[in-house]
Amino acid sequence: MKVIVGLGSCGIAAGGMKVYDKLYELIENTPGMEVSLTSTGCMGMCFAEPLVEIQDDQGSAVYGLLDEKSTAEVFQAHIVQGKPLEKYIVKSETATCADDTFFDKQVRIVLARCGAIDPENLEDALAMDAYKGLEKALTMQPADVVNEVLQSGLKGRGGAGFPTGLKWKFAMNSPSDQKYMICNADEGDPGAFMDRSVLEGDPHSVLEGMIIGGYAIGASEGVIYARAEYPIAVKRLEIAIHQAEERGFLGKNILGSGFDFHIKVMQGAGAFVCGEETALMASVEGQRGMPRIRPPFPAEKGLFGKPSNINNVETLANIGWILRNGAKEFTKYGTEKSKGTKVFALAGKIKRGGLVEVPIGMTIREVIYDIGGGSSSGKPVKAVQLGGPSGGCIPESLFDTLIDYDTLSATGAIMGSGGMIVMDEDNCMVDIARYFLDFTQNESCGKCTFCRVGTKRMLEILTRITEGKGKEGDIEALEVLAEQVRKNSLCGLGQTAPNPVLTTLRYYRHEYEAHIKEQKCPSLQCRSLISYRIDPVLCTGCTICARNCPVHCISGEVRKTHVIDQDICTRCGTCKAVCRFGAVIVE
Amino acid sequence: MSTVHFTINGLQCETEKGTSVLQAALAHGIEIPNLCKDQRMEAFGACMLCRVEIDGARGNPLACATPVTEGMVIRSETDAVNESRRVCLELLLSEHTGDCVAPCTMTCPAHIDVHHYIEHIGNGEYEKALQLIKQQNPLPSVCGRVCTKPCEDECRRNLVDERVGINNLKRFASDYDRLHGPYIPEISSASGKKIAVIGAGPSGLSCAYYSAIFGHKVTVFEKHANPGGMLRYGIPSYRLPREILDFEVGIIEKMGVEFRYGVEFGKDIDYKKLKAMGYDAIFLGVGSQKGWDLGCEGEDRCSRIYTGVDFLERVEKYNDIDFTGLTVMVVGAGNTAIDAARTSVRLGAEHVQIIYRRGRAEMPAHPEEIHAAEQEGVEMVTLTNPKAVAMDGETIAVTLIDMALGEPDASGRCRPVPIEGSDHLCMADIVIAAIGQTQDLSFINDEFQLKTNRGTIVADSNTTQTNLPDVFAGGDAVTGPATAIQAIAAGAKGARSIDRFFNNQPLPKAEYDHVMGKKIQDVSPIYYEGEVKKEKQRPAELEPSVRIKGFSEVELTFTEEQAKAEALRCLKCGCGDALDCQLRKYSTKYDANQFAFEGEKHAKPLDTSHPVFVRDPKKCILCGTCVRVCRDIAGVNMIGFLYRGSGTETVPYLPGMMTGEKSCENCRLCVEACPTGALLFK
Repeated sequence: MKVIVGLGSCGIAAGGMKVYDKLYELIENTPGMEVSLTSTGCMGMCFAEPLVEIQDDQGSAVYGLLDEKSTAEVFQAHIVQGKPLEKYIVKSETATCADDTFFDKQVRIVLARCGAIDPENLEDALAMDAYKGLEKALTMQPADVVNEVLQSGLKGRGGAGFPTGLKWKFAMNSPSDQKYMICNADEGDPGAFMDRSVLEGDPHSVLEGMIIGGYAIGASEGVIYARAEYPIAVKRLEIAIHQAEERGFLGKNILGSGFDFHIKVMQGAGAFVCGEETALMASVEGQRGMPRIRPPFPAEKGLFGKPSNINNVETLANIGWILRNGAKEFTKYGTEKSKGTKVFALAGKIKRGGLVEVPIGMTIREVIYDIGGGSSSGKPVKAVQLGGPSGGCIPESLFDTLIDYDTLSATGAIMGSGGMIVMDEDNCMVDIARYFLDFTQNESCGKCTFCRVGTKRMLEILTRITEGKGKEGDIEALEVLAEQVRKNSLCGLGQTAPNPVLTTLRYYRHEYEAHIKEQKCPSLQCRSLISYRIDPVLCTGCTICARNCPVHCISGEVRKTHVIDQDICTRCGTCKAVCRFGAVIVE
Repeated sequence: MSTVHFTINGLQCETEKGTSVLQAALAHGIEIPNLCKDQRMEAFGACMLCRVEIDGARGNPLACATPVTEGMVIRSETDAVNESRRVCLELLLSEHTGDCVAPCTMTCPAHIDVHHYIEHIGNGEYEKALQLIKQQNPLPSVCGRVCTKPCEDECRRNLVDERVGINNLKRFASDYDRLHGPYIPEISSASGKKIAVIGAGPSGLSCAYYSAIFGHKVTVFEKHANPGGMLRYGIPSYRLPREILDFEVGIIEKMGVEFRYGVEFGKDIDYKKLKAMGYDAIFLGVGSQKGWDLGCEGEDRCSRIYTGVDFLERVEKYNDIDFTGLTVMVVGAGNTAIDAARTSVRLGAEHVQIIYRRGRAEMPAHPEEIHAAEQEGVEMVTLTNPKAVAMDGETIAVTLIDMALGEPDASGRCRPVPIEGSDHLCMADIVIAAIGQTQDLSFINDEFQLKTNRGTIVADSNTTQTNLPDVFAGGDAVTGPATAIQAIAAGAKGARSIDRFFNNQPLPKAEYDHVMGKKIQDVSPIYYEGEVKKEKQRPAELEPSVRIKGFSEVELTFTEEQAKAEALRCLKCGCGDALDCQLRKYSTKYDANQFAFEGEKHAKPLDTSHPVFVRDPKKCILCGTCVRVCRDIAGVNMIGFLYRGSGTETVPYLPGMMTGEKSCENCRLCVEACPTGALLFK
């Protein structure tokens, strides 16, 4: 019997370590247990963490939302007595569960091994075909390897969507004594964790992709630039590199091919802009992370002035599979112009938030309802935000749009790196735009005028609007600034920073107008534009609200109607949250 | 070494392979704006000003970083490109804090270079100071006594302790010149053109002075027997001694200007006659010299009721007026009313009252004048207005009515409303109505169809040209009653305009002027917190008891000691880079508006720690040239970028760097390379 605990960062955050420790203790203290206890990375069902998978001769059963108490119950029932405890099962090969449909439409190429292996165990990975792609590639000519990737139609998964094979071809064709293969593991979008899960859950897939890439373009050095905020990922990468070196997948004369390749991990220092390829390279060189003018492109002049190829983690995780199964197999998934699958981090007001991998070309509606289970708040879904601070909001009316690089950009949004945040009527679209712009302005490197000053001025306008100080002409000023910043900024950060503003203006202009002209926030979120009031009919005078109010602004005697002092109220929402009679009204 | 052919803005050109679009365009006379490209170093990509349209390119590439390729088609001046440039500049300007030109100069209607003439005075270079003043104002001794000094209201010293005595300094420099010079400007060679100036008031005198410098032959036609206009016939001699006025007019005569007195335009001469006499242009500086009547019931049946301007004119013309023992009632509270009241005191009046329909705070006269009048015994009666007048023997019985302040009117001042039933009688021997003036434009007829609007001559505010191309006008005749300096400024504008008219030259584009604040109330005192307070110099004054005995000057000129001390109080507000600043140059060219994108500015203090230069981060545009010059050319790498987002700064001497091997070698390359006034030599 195998007991596998999900210990990706989200698993640990949900309390996975406690579950693991409990199981360890129970197994240790129960004699005659022939049970192996291991851990794995993200299984994708983040909404049900902590997760424990039990594999025995009955098959596989995954338990979710466990705590120490329920873990003990599962231990007794399933591990000791061999009887699966249905009430905690979220996924099973034998029984049907409410959340089965989570995986139905998914195609796991990148995430194949995530959640299925112990990421610190090379044998697990090898058993699931790790490095078979590399073996195949080393029997081919580098140009043929490049061609295979080109034929697969794989596009950069970091957000830009540039054909990977083409990028490799440019680097391959740049003559030089030294070339570099770089992995961009600086995943900076707030709320995005696709790359983190792959790095933590299946680091060898990334290494394999890099080695194949290095072979194809003629690079002997590889750098993985990982954000310092991913310590587990960094640790697992370094372990994986060490393991790969020992096994001969890295180092000199890899698998006897004569090809030398070394990989080094370098940590970032907390700058979103260093996810931009030229800023990333500047950072690796020890300089301030500021983008450079392109052309020349990295393929011609990159790290330390040498031809370099830089790919996103998810992009690289596809490479091994493509070489192993062939480009043609890959093209079976996806649309005509965009092949393969895409990993999304589903979050927000969604029942089943987590990491999903779907073939490109699925509709937004399918992902949100069939896979995600629909709204978690009971209120209908209003919009979805794709691509983080560089992306845009898509309203519910457009949910039949196919998720494909081209069809999405027609809506004004972008595929982005995979962040997908679901929103309902309680989300204020103006505030969403402000939130993202606050992020990008904070992360702007300050080099170019349009991004440095333009995003600041847009943020000031948006902040004023959410504070009820919007004025005539603000929307027009936002539109001018957004257009100019988009067109003229030096790098992708500035060029895409206006996207949240542009899409929310396009589809939710009425919300902006309500804030400015009527001083109202239709979603009742913007604190300066709402007020809290106690309904005298429903109030029972139980005093719970008054006792919990952090600024002591509610007055009233026991069993008498309570009143909120509007001058002191900070609109924190505590009274509404604690009232059991629904007597607090927001308007 | 091969050539590539390209097209830019429709022009077919060629250049050496590898040349950037920016360089290639410049070689063909097309300047693409750029603020961060230094010839010695590679393109950096910070300012974003040089983006141009290139056929087939993705987006608008940077001209500084794009090499010209064969067959390239470039458009560098399209509307879209220019709009992006303007927005780029406006974003930079929204972060910029400083004044290209000091607020005193900006506020002065004649744009006198105050900051620099004060500097000359401080250095003991009084003649240089005077010459600088006279570039913009030919009557500084006059103005030094009667100017309303709007410059001083905007003087930033107000935010430290008290305003600099700018007008007193101007008076000092001009009085010094009168005693030790005088300075007569160089006249250009005769142009062969003739100009007729109508009116020897401040606008006419100013027009004559500057026209003479251009080499034109000027004749001033004046209806009175003496020059000055309102300066002589509207301002009493205790405020403006006649010798001072005559002295400055005398300089204009010495410059070859002819004066013809006793000649009235519209009666003795007219447009047709002047043209027949060979005059190529005419400047009308006829002023607003008709006083408004009281407008009271019974006025036409009364005697000894005069308008303020008529009264002052008579005092000027006749020596025999004696008000001993008389009661004088002056209606109105503008400068003319105060002048009439103080003159009445000097003429021996026993009791002089000012009757004003609004309150003390609304009195339009200069507070110093009101104070001086009270010192001399004039009684101020506010919130009162005459309702009717009638003769009672030789005395005038004035029915006064009390007023209350109501809602503000179009001028922003509260409308006075009569309080019913508050009528009361007041007796006076003389009533002077100083409640405003208007223009006498009776010379306009079918043969001289000058366009007017509500009683004033219509003239272009930038050129002073009227609807008749060779007729120009300025001063009160165009604006209605205003100040001397405004009239002088108009006359100077007229002279320059007439000269351009003769030479068929267009009006030059106004330069962009950045301001720290639209008005002084918009400037944060934070910027001046470090200034040491210095006591304001005050010129000596005659005792009130002495003053009223005659018409001598009340206020005296600064001593040399006082002038130098006061000059040191000047904060030297204008930017030292105003003439060279690239940001200013492009903001002028692309019509950038400083207030297009108002927002937070980082109030970073001045850094005076370096021995050679002053660093003002409020003017920095983050072009990074100083950083790169220090790193790549000087090889010392002492300047770096700090922080992120809009708070990014270029900072020298990063902590810890001074302990390394290298240190700043005072090579000055950074200061020379800086395109704005962020780095200036001390």
